[in-house]
Amino acid sequence: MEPFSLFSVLPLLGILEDFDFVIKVFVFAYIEFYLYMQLRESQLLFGIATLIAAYFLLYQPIPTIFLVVIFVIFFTMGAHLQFLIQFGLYPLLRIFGIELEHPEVAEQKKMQEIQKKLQNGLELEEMEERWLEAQQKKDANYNKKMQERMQRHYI
Amino acid sequence: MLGIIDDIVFWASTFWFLWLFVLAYFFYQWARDHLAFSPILTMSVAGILIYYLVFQYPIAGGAIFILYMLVYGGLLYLLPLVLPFFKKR
Repeated sequence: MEPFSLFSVLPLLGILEDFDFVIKVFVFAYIEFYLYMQLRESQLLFGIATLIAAYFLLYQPIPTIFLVVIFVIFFTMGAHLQFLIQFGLYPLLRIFGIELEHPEVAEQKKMQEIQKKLQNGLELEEMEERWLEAQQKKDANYNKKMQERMQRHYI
Repeated sequence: MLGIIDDIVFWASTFWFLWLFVLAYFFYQWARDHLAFSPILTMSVAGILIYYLVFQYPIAGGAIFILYMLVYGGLLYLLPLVLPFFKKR
């Protein structure tokens, strides 16, 4: 086995340096795009903002890149991301048995499936019957509490 | 007998160059969409991106292109249509 040598790792540093430069170019392009959208009516402000953005990107690259990436992912792609997670990632994880969606949404879906089975005249499994009984008890408790609250409110 | 290898190498290199051309066009288009207000900046950024992501590291450029197409091209929206077929019953 060859002894570990830093010279075998150094080419990787060159590659990382190149990728670092490319990421900075991408980030600078996005910053310029958003600055132009905001400041297109005032060229002076656009120029000053460009210089400030360039300063931050050159001297404080890590927080600048992090903030721009967060902005792009959550503000620009926010709705897109939400749709992807809710209708892409969650169903994918459900196939592997991991349920991450809001429990009320999952409960509603389960209730709909059970009601479909009952409407089609199929028999429910033991687990489903127990779950249905537990849900009905929970609903009855909830209704009782709401009634008591209403009575207290009106008295 | 070795003619078939020549043919394979010819078509593989043709498709590889076509793929690189597609990548270059994609990065040029991206730069133009985001920096349309300044033609000089567009050409500079496009040139830098094409040099690094098509000439130097085409695999990274290809990965970025594929990821971009998956996220923005709407292919992931097909997941809810396909996944129910793999649901546990």
